[in-house]
Parts: sequence; structure tokens; C-alpha cells
Amino acid sequence: MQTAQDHQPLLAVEDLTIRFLQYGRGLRRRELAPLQHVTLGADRGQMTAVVGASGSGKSLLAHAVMGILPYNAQVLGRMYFDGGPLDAQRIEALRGREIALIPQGVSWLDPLMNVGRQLQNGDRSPQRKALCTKALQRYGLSEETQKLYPFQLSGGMARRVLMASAVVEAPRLIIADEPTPGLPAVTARRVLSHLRQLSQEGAAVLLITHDLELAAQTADRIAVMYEGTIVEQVEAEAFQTGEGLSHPYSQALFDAMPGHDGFLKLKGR
Amino acid sequence: MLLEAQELSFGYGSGPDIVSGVSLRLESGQRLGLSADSGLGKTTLCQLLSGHQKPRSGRVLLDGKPLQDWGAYCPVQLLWQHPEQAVNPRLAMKYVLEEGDQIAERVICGLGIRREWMSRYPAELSGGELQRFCIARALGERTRFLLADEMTAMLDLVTQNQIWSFLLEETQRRQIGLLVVSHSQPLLQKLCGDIVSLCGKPVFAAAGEGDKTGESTENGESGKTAPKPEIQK
Ligand SMILES: Nc1ncnc2c1ncn2[C@@H]1O[C@H](COP(=O)(O)OP(=O)(O)OP(=O)(O)O)[C@@H](O)[C@H]1O
Ligand SMILES: [Mg+2]
Repeated sequence: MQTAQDHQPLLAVEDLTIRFLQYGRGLRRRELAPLQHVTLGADRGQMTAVVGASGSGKSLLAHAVMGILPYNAQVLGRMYFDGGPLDAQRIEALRGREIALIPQGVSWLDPLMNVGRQLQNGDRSPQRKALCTKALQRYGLSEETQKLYPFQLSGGMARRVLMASAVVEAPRLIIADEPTPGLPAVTARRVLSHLRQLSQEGAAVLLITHDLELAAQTADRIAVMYEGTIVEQVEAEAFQTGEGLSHPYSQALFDAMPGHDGFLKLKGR
Repeated sequence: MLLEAQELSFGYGSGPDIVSGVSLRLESGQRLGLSADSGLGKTTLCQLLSGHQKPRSGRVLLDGKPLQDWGAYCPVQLLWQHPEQAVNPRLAMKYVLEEGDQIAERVICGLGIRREWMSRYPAELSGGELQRFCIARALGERTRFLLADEMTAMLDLVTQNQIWSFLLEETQRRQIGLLVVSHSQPLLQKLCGDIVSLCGKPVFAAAGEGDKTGESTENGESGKTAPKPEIQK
């Protein structure tokens, strides 16, 4: 998918810092910076995984790109999409169309709307309906599914509905925030191969995950986050072989994978 | 102490049984692993064992006495898979903690909960940070059994090690019985003395019923068969 003028990645995040102002008792004011100087790119036709410690800022990064940070967040740094600056206004215009989020929780589905309506997103035209049907079909969901409400979906189906609703408009950038925790291995693998396929069709995929094993098998590159920064970016293979990991946290993650020495190395045992 | 499920059956509304005829025993200090394919009602079973759902038939007994007769604080505490669904979004974390029983300082420290998180609201914490609070809240002084439903699936591997290390030490110290529900066989094998599996035909959600918190396998989701899960040693 790479053409000559594409040398800049589809999404480029440069020196991104996120701060929160917190007001304590009286006039005390505290500043938190849970994300500091993050630089990351997501390329067309590539799948980039973001792994890292709990609380290291992965979700905040995703929310910054999607423009859905809370009001008291201050964002510093630069973001570009397809060569042009990505500001609040442009995000608004691209969100749901060219940039799609597959959210972590199934609670993002509107409980009062059936699946068909959620996918139509207010557009009742026949063209839109055809697109929705196609998106559902892609994930093995029948026409019937459109009539169901979220409470009638099993967890696995709900996740596929979320995937389907993200791809109705053939987005060019897809961000998936932990799409697999708690899923059995077979289902998790299937979710990732769906994402892989989207990237092979030319989309840039950013995958936030704790499942390092799957990420190592499916993604092209892996960015490791720790304490609000990206401590290293490696080819996915590095997490299969353990070679080429330079940061101690990446090393610790590698060691803690199932089947490795440090997996559930319980202290005092 | 002994936590006992006798012939539990459960289904939503007038739908088919999601859990049917399940019996199980868990003793103080025991660590039991529960593995099952998805859609088999593991989550529902945990809700029954902790009194969050009433069975259609069968009983849950704690030392021979029905669970609901144990008073306001249930000695069997459930850790939900999705912490964001288990806390009141409008309460600051220190009040979320107060919803439980008295919680030892040791527990707060052991889980790596930082002081500065106490004044925040749930939406101001990451998924993993929030889960630590839920674990702390479930470890009140009067807790005797802990049911952990895919408890660490949202944590990175390094944090998982830290949390399980603490939890094994704590449950051993207090002789808390632990039920670990997970898809991950390597995890169950590391943590548990015994592993049982729920088996039977998978349950699939159809109109009006469904294991809303569980997941289902991807094939044949149109099936509406009533499953007959049973515990096998
Ligand atoms: N609204 C907020 N106000 C203050 N701090 C916040 C807010 N939202 C998040 N944080 C903090 O920012 C840090 C990063 O949070 P984030 O949700 O991005 O973590 P994460 O990497 O996704 O973690 P996890 O793997 O546990 O989901 C955390 O320490 C969190 O407490
Ligand atoms: Mg997160």
C-alpha cells in the first residue's frame, strides 16, 4: 500500500504530553502529567501494538487521538493525520469515518438502541443500510442481529458488533483498546486476525493490548509504554525471541509471558 | 469453613437454564481453579455463589447455613471481570472503599494503591488501577471466600505477578478460600491446587435471555439449546 508520497505515516504523534489539573482543598492545585513526550506513528497497512504497564497511559493516548479526553486535560505536542495537523475540529470531522475506535468495554453500546440503529448512526438511507449489512456479514452476523438490543447479545457477539460498527465506513485508522481480555484463546485470536486483515487492506491499526503473546504473533511493531512514556519500539519478533529488548521493563514483560521463567513468579514461593 | 453449592440452576426470565444442576465445594484456605469454555455461565455461577443472583433451584450454603442468613456483609465476595461496572462512578475512591468492610492498611499497600488515587473518581483511574480498588474492597476483614472472575485479564503481566503474589499471601494468612475463574490454563495451573471445568453445550444469548457478562464461542451462536453444565473433577 506504500506509495512514494506516503513516507510520512498516516498518523503521526509527536512529543505528546497530557496534563491534568487537580484542585485539592482550599487553593491547592496539583498538576499531573500521565503522558510525557510520546512520539509514535501508525503506518498504512501496518499493525502497531501498544503494550505496557497498567496506568502507563495507553488509554489516554488513544483518547487523545480520538479527541475524547476529559475537559480538564491539557494536551501539548503535535498530531498529524495524512500529512495535515490533527486538531480538535479535524478530529471531530474524521471520527467515526476515517478514524474509528473499537472501545474496550461493551458498555459503549447504547442499551436503548438495537444493533441496526447503532450501526446506521442516524443515517437511514438505503446506501447506509447496505454498508451496515455488509459490515455485519463480515463478522458472521446475520441480518437478524440488527433487530437485537445489546442485552440480547452474548459478550462475543457484542464485541463483533463493536468491530462491525467501527468498519462500516472503511476507516483508514483503527484504534482498538484492549479488544481481547477475558476472551478464550480461539476468540481472541479471531479478533486479532480480523484486525490484521483490516491492516492488510490498507488501514493503519493501533492495537492496545495486554496480550503480549498474541501481539507478538500478529502485529508488525510493538511500542512499550511505562510511566507515561514510550520506552522502546521494536519489531514484533523481538517479543518472540527476547532479542533486541533494551529496556528493563520490556525485559520484565518478556520474562513474565506464559511459558517463560518469570511467568507468575510468585514471591516467597 | 465450607462454601457449598448444591444442584444450582439459573436462567434469565423465562429463558433456558444458563447454569443447570451445578454442585461445588470450596473450603477455607483452598485454591480452586474453574475453567470453562465461554458462554458456559462461569460469571453467572460466581454471581450465584456470592448471592448476587438467586438460583431457580438449588442452594448455596456457608457452613451449612444459607448465604442470605449471614447478615449484611456477605463473607463470600465477588471480584467482577469489568471493574468499571462494579463501582459507583459518582463516588471518590476513598468512599468506594468504605462501601466494603474494614480494610487493613496491609491490603491497600500490598495492592500498590497510591494515596493520591483516593480522592479521584473512577473515570480518573486506569482500568488496572481501578481493579486494585475492587480487590481491596473485596478483602474486608469479614471476607472468608473470594471469587475471582477473570480478575487480572486487564492487567499487564508484570502487574499480574505482583497482584497474585500479594493475594496468595493474604488468602493464606487469613485462610480465605479462593475460586479462580480464568480462560488461561497456565495461570490456573500456577495458582490452584485443584482445577475443575464446567462442561456441557455452550449457552448462547438469544432474544430475551443470555449470559450478558460472559462471552460465547464464535460458532453456532444461533443455537438456543439449554445446556447441561456440570462440574467435573
Ligand atoms: N481524568 C484523569 N485525571 C487524572 N488522572 C488520570 C485521569 N485519567 C487517567 N489518569 C491517570 O493517567 C494514568 C494513565 O491512565 P490510562 O488509563 O491511560 O492507563 P492505561 O495505560 O490505559 O492503563 P490500564 O492498562 O490499566 O488500562 C493513570 O495513572 C491514571 O490514573
Ligand atoms: Mg486502559
